[in-house]
Amino acid sequence: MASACRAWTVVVLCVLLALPTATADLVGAVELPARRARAKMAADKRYPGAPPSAGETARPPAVVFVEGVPSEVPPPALTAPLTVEQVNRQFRPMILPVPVGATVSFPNRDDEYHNVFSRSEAKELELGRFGQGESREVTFDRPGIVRLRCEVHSGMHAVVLVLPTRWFTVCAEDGTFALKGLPAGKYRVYAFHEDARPQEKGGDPMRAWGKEVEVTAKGDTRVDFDLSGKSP
Amino acid sequence: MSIRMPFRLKLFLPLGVTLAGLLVAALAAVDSTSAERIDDLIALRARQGLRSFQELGRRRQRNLIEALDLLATAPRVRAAFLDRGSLAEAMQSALYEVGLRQTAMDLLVVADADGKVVSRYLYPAGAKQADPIGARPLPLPVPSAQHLPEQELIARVLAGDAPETLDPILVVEDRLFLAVPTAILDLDVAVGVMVLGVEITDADAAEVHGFQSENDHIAWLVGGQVRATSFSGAEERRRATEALAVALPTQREDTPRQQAVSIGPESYRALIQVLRPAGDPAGGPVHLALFISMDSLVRFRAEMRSLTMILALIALALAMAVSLLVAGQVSRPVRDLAEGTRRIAEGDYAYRIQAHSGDELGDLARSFNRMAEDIASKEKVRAVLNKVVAREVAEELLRSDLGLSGRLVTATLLFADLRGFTAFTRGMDPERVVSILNEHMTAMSAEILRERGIVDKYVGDEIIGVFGAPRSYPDDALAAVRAAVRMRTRLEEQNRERRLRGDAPLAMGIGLHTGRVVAGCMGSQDLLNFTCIGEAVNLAARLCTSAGAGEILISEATLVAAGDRVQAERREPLRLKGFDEPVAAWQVQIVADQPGTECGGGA
Repeated sequence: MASACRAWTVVVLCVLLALPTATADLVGAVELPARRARAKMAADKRYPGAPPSAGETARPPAVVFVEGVPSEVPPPALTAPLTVEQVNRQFRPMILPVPVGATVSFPNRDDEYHNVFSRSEAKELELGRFGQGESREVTFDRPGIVRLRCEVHSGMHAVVLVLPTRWFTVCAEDGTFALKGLPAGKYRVYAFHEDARPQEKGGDPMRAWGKEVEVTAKGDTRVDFDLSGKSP
Repeated sequence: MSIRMPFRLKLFLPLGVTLAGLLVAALAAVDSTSAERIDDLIALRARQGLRSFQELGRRRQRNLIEALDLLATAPRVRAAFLDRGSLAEAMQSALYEVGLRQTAMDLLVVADADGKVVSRYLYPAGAKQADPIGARPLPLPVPSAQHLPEQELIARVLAGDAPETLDPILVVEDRLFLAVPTAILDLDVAVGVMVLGVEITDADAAEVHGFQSENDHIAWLVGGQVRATSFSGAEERRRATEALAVALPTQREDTPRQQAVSIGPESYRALIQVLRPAGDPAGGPVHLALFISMDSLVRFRAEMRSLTMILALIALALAMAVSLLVAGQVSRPVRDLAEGTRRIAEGDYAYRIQAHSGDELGDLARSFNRMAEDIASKEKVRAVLNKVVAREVAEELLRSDLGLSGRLVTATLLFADLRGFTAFTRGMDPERVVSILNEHMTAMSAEILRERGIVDKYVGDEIIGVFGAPRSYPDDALAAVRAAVRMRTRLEEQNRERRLRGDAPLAMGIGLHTGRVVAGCMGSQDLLNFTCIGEAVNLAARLCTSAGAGEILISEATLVAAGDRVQAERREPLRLKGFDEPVAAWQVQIVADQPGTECGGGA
């Protein structure tokens, strides 16, 4: 008798498992805010003879993350090893969303020293001076915006966005994103970009731009963000 | 009272005075021009000093702005401001960067986004000089209520003004700084302000001084006290402070004005500019004093003056010499003429003037010479005339313009000739004959002339004298007789001398008659002879022929006319050729001095 119950449980479970789960994709596009003039970066005179910084030419993409997803649902796996390279006197990528507790490595791909540090509340870093081929590892244990800088090169700047959720993605160059495998439900979706002006002063800088979104079970749910501030 | 001024002096004075006057005027003009030039030079140097100061000030300001930008964009400082939001950490990071970059800094201030000063660091006065390695900036208190001097800069930069347009002068703790602000921006929102200041020291003064001329100086003052100066010695600085203490109160705030100032033995013109008035919130009063050295200028002026003086004196001497020369040149012909006329007046008819120039003066000289020649030749004629004719006749002739007309006058004629002269001179040298005759005639003529008669002519050995023409005197007859007696006496004297010499004596007979004659210049226009015509003349001649050696025969008329002073013996009336009746004659013995008085004398 017990074996039959076990067998039926297995069959039911299999049937249940075999049934397609009710998940959806969240898609959209984030319109980036106008590039804001950065304070002019004077030539690095600290290390005599050091050639000037390359300066920022590229723009970081926006990051979209969702909060409120029940934790039973397995989040997407982390795609790549978490690294922030120092290459060509820039950080690459310029924005790296990581879940809380992640460990990020910082390999130096340049043929000169870098000295990566951060004074952000979310994580104070002092990686010290290390040369080509060397790397350091840091575990980010608190959520928040961690601004990375290099003591030697004033033009080097990146953000590690430590998120309390694993439901996040980095937008493509054109601003589009797709977050797959979300269960249906009501969630809060946020878009983050450094240049985005908060709508109200004094709020959480990470969650300055957010929307309530109802993700439907079937098909794609679309949500767009206009961070330029042109439309309300 | 008239002063006789030589002609040369008359010429020289106006010339000399004019030239001297012109030179003095030129000297005065040069002197005043050089004074103007000196003023211009001072103004130029003051302008240059100010310009260098302003230029260096701007350059320092630019350097400061650059240094502050480097500080403000240093990753650590930005991280402190933007990422951490900690102004205190920003200050420490900035101080760290200053040390790392060896940035020139004396004052560093951090203020928040509202412009409220949060942190101030300042090197204590003189700390860097005392201990360049170990010196540290110390935090200054931040009074809550008081308005800080750097507040103005902070407010302006937050308002959006560019740092290079702001006045960098700052007075903190009574010290003078050059300071610039910068706003720390998070993209385009200010999150804080930093102010970087460097103290203005003697080194800055020396840098400005390097662009001025060596003896010019510069000084900055705060509250009347010298804070930085190019004066090197302690003594000079002290004196400069003292001098400025006197000069400052008289300084007006609007325009800088030159004042004469002495610092020790050197004199300067001080130009004081108010950089910051008293009571300014950024601190004051702040003055800039430029000292323009007068010594070289004064020396220059003195040299100019003495050079001009010397040149003027040389020129003056030359001018005087030239004037004298010119005056001399012009006056010489005049003086020559004056001398010439004087000599001619004195009788030197041979004097001639040298005529040099081709101008009117030369013409004058040549005319003078011609005139002198005329006079000389006239005098020659007169002298000849006098020799040839009796002087009175000559004068009469000249006076009466050589009239041919004769006059009927009563005159006494005197004829005297030598007895046996022909025989006497036979076989004699012609020269000796002339010599004897001349000697005799000279002596006899002298006696005639002495009695105011004239010698009419000499005919061989015969003398004819006339008493009463051309001029007549009351006692003509007596004079004639006296003359005859003297002639006889003279001949006797001469004969004695002849005998002593061994020569033969001469014998002379004299005849006189007084009567009416026609006297005048007889002859042609070209050749005249003053003579007398008439029977009386013949009678006198005949009487002479009848007179023996040493005898004086006079006619009755003469005797009567001569008066009773004549002592004469009566002779037989003479039968004379040409006269019908016999003529009474007397032989004169003597002529008494007084009427009726006997006088000595031989027969």
